[in-house]
Amino acid sequence: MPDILLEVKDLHVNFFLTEGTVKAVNGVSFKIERGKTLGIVGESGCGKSVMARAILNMVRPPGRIVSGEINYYSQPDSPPINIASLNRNSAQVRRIRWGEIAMIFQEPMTSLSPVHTISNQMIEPIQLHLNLSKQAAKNHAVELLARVGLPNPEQLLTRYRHELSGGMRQRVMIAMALSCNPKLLIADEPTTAVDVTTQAQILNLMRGLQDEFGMAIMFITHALGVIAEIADDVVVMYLGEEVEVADVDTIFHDPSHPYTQALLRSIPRPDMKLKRLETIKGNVPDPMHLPQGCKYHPRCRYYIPTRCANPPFERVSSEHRARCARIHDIKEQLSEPTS
Amino acid sequence: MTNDTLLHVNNLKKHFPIYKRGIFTQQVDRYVKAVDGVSFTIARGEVLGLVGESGCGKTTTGRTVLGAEKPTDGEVIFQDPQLGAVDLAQLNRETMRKYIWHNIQLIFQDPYSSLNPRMTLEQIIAEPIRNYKLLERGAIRDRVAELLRLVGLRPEYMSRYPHAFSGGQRQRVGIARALAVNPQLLICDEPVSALDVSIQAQVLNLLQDLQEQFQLAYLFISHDLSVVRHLCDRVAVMYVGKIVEIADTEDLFNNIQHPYTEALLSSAPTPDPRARRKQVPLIGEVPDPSNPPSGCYFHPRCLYAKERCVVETPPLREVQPGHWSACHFAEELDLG
Ligand SMILES: Nc1ncnc2c1ncn2[C@@H]1O[C@H](COP(=O)(O)OP(=O)(O)O)[C@@H](O)[C@H]1O
Ligand SMILES: Nc1ncnc2c1ncn2[C@@H]1O[C@H](COP(=O)(O)OP(=O)(O)O)[C@@H](O)[C@H]1O
Ligand code: SF4
Ligand SMILES: [Mg+2]
Ligand SMILES: [Mg+2]
Repeated sequence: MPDILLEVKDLHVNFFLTEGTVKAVNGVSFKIERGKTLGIVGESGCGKSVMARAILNMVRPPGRIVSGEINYYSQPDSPPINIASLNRNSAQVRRIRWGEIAMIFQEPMTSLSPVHTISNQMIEPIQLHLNLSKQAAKNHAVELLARVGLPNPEQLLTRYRHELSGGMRQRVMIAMALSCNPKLLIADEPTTAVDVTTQAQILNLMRGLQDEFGMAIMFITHALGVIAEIADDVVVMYLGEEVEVADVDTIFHDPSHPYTQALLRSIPRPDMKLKRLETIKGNVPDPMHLPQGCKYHPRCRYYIPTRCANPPFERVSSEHRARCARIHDIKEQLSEPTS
Repeated sequence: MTNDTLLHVNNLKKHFPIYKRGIFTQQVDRYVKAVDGVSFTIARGEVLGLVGESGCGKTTTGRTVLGAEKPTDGEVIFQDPQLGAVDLAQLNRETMRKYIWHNIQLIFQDPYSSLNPRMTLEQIIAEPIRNYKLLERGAIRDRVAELLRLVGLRPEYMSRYPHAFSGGQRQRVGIARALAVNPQLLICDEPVSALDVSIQAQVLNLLQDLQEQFQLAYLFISHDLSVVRHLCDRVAVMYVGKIVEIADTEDLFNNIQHPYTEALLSSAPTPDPRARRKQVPLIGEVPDPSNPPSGCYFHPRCLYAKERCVVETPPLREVQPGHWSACHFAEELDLG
């Protein structure tokens, strides 16, 4: 039996706007195993960030979790806590948010304060949440900053965010997220704003920290290459839905959903010298006006009106599912090379 | 400079002054050497990639070639169809505007900020045609329709404003506007970096088709190595204002001759979980170009640095036919 840390069940998050309702997360289900890395991949606007916030019960009006469960298993044999059912501002949620599930964002610019030193932003919360003296909290902060590879941590504590490079800010965010030894680290596009070299450093760092602290990671990105580097299991999202869930090797070598397949063929790959890239026709639709039936059908090359009205989230194998009505009959077409 | 050479950039420099603020005077404190002695050529119809970490001077190189920044030093020799070989570094903005800029066009990264929100697509695309008086008034509309079709947009869209379009569509509008004046050279500065994965491929294919159809030359600036490998004939790698390696694309990727290129390529993620490997990521960060290290600028981060690298600046030299490297030890090192 896999040791489940977090189980999301049929989660729905809507934004109720005057122009209409945005179904940002539209029935997503997945599990994260203790100590493993789950990759969430999808194009912009498909609901990745909203889902991450929902897991911490941080969605603010006009947005709301409308249904679904977010079951958190603090210990392997403890009963689950359904985070979705708790009050957004309750002490219990706040304790989970800081101490058990930590989050880092794409742009540390917005999550680090410009007017406070790193010390101010790090030491007080540590003091508060871990119930430490000021000196002990400072020692802990210095230790963490050193652990994430920042030189001169003592001196760094006196600096402001604008004095740090993008890569350094991201490391500070990781150090802060680790300060209470979380069981799950949610990383929302943590390397999207940095260079490939810094990205490689941060991915290495996160792998090392996972080995050392044993936390699970939910790694959100739009970059398929990064998913291939870091994930154990993968959720592919499109327009608020998960379209495919499988282990990382299956996603990259035996994908079942037409969208996953098309995405993989639309990126240049050194291992397949393509003269031309394959494209996905059209654009991601406006979330206020979602397509009927299969949400991917206007862009799908396998669309058949009579078949694709209501695609099930079909089981391909025990841990592999895809939301497509035609996974079995398109499998054969796929084995033939495409033009 | 062979007959085929469209652009020959020779020892190009762009140094931005940083001022020390006195009470009455402004004194130059030091210079940001954003571009510091860059040389390369682009042949007619050739696609040259320019890669490197951010802050290495890629954008400034593109802007200085175009004359949007006045070069501090060096030559930018452009083979103009009418004027013959001209050194753009010697021309002022007025002359550039009048005689050169319809031959060299720029495509930006950000399709959102590069289009005037108060102009229709027709006005946006027609503007350069009018400025250069390339067509009679009555023929402009047809040309705009033709350009829209060329980049895969419906001609009916011409009366709409940019906000009605997605990022990928706006990038197509930017490309249509650049093509309106029949340029020979397009400087593409991260043209697909802001686009979604499924839209990137559409725009890359479009750029590839247009290049083949019109024999366009591109200076293709990107931080995405797999995109560069896919699209470019040759690639130049830049580090702190200098080119450290330049070669034919496959030669660059398979026969690396500079430690920085090795580090950059090994940092790029591979979209195949079976190819996962223990990376040796580059330590540290790009140095401040106003205060670069001594000797080889890369030496503080280089795995192979020796005494000589600290004191002696390696010149860019041809280490194999057509393959240039600025490493003292290019011949001795066996780079991955
Ligand atoms: N505060 C908000 N108000 C209205 N709509 C929102 C808000 N936040 C997100 N959305 C919408 O929810 C959808 C999912 O957004 P998001 O989760 O940010 O996407 P991703 O992170 O995958 O790029 C988008 O259509 C977005 O416009
Ligand atoms: N107008 C300017 N004034 C001063 N410094 C500049 C200016 N433009 C660019 N720079 C500096 O020049 C260096 C190279 O920048 P840029 O050409 O934008 O690099 P890249 O495009 O490779 O990221 C950077 O250190 C940048 O801060
Ligand atoms: S259900 Fe139909 S339209 Fe949707 S992905 Fe499958 S084949 Fe394509
Ligand atoms: Mg997001
Ligand atoms: Mg740039």
